[in-house]
Amino acid sequence: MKYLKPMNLKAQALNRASFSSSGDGAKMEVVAMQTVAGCASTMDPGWEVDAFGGIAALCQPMEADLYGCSDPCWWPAQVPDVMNSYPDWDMDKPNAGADWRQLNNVFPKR
Amino acid sequence: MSGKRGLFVSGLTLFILSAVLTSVSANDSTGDFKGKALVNDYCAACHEQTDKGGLTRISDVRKTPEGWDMTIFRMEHLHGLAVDSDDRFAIIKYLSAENGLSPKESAPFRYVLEQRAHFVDTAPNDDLDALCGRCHTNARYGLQRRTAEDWLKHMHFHVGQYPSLEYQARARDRFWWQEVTSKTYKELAELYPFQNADWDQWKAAAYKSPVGLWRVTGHRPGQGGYEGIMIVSRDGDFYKAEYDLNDMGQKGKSITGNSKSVIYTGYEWRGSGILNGTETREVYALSEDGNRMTGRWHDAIYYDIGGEFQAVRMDGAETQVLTQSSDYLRQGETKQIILHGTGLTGKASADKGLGLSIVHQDSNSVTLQITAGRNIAPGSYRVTVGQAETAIVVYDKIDRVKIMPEWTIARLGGGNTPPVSAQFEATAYMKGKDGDIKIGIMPALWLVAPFNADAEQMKDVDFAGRIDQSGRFMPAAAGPNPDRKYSTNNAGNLTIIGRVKDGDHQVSGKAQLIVTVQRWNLPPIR
Repeated sequence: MKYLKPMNLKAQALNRASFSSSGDGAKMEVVAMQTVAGCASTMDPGWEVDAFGGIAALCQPMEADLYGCSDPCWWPAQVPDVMNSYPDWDMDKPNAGADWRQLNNVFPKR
Repeated sequence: MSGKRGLFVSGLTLFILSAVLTSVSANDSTGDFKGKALVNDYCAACHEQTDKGGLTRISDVRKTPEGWDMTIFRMEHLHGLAVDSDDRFAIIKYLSAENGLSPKESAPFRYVLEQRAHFVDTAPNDDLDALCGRCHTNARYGLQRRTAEDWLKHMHFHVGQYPSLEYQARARDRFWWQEVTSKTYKELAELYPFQNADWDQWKAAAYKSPVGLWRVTGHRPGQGGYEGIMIVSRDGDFYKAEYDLNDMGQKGKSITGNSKSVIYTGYEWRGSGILNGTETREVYALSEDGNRMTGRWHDAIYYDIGGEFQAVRMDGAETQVLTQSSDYLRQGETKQIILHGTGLTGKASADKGLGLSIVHQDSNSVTLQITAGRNIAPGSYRVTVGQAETAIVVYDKIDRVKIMPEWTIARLGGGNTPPVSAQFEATAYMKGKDGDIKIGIMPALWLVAPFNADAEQMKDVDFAGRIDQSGRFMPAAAGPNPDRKYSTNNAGNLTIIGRVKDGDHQVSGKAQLIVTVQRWNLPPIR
């Protein structure tokens, strides 16, 4: 983290866990802090698996922030980005938590 | 080397075929002419002609058929290209022939073409893992060849089309844009160069026909092996395969069906078929000598369900064992083991210590009654039929059980997104003088446990799905679950336990399964 600085407690904790030499103890602390509640603030969790190889630091439920991923083109290989590539993907589906069943895959079935 | 666990998962392979198989029927020479004319018709309005007679961008890139299919989809979706399915197919076939990948170039990355949901892929280095591997499989760029100039354009395309890349590409750790536009594109051009003697050679080669009689063997994870015959015949521009197979895991239950396929670039077999009433897709590679096909077939909807596939041309095949109904027997045990292969007409014999008698023999299969002496040393024993040779392991006890895959993911399914299951198998090992000796895949009792305290607290085991006694984990339904804390998804972090019976006790192995959320971007190359 040379050029960006963590701005909140969770991001700072993650930074310490990722870059300190204190090992798993620090990582476990971060995992515990982030368990289930909302999206991770780290810049690069995976879509499927979090920075610690689990799921506790992912956004749960994913639908709570799904459009926060598609609007700013966050995981464009997993979630269609409505910023540039698929502007109509979530058209008429304003509530991801209720409308997720209607969301379509963007690559046609062959 | 930098590892990236198999986060490519999900989706449907390129099957241009299912949409277009019924209508294209030009022969090879007119197909080339037609393809070239179509590329000019559809592409030249935007892609200018180059000094060398090619078209800008298009002539500086080489890709798999799936790669070209994805390019055309992007042109349709983002740039208003309108192309019907016949023309689309002809263009992909032409571009795959003119600007494709050789068998050697595609070989390291076939796992993604074959839709292997549980493959763990590896980047050439950390920088490429961070730059490309965070969103894509490493096969995504490994299956492309570009000139250095075009790799640079590829960088510009990405930052223009997907601007949040700025935050994803270790931007906070380095001057990433400066690096990728001064160094990385050259690195990619060296790793995956447009100019390559191997491709030149392959492009000029006389391609082999798959027409003929083939001996087929394979394995369906969780179900066992299968074997049989495939007859391939020509059908216009396509090939028709008729399958007459037997499921070795279910007492010889027959598997029959057929497929219609096309061969791109002289070796890339892509088929659409039916096996025992289930719609399938086939991704095979024809060997350079035309005598072997290998790959994977899978369910057309559930790509996680499928089978390993190997076919050997029967005409002129050497004497060989290709698969067998079991790889092992215990000290003192008597067992019927069927060897499947080609040319198995010779005399059967075995290393000292194994008793052997022939129950049935024809050129494709030999059923042997094998007895392992009570006092013979545990280890690998050679069994021969004429010039064909195989090995049977005799074990005294199981020392270790390994669960494969050791780490993988499953995806919740619902709405318009099918679930992705995870199939586990238990392989037993015994200790040998020079390390563990693999005994073979064995039936197991399958259990699920929380992977860690978080999973226990969230009761992931209760919500994420269930494992059946073939070792297949079927994830639960997608969507917020009001019965869970925070209405969270039915995601879970699980330990999969396989217990193999060994006499009067059990030996266990473990794997980790992340049950995770669906994705909505499902191109054939993730």
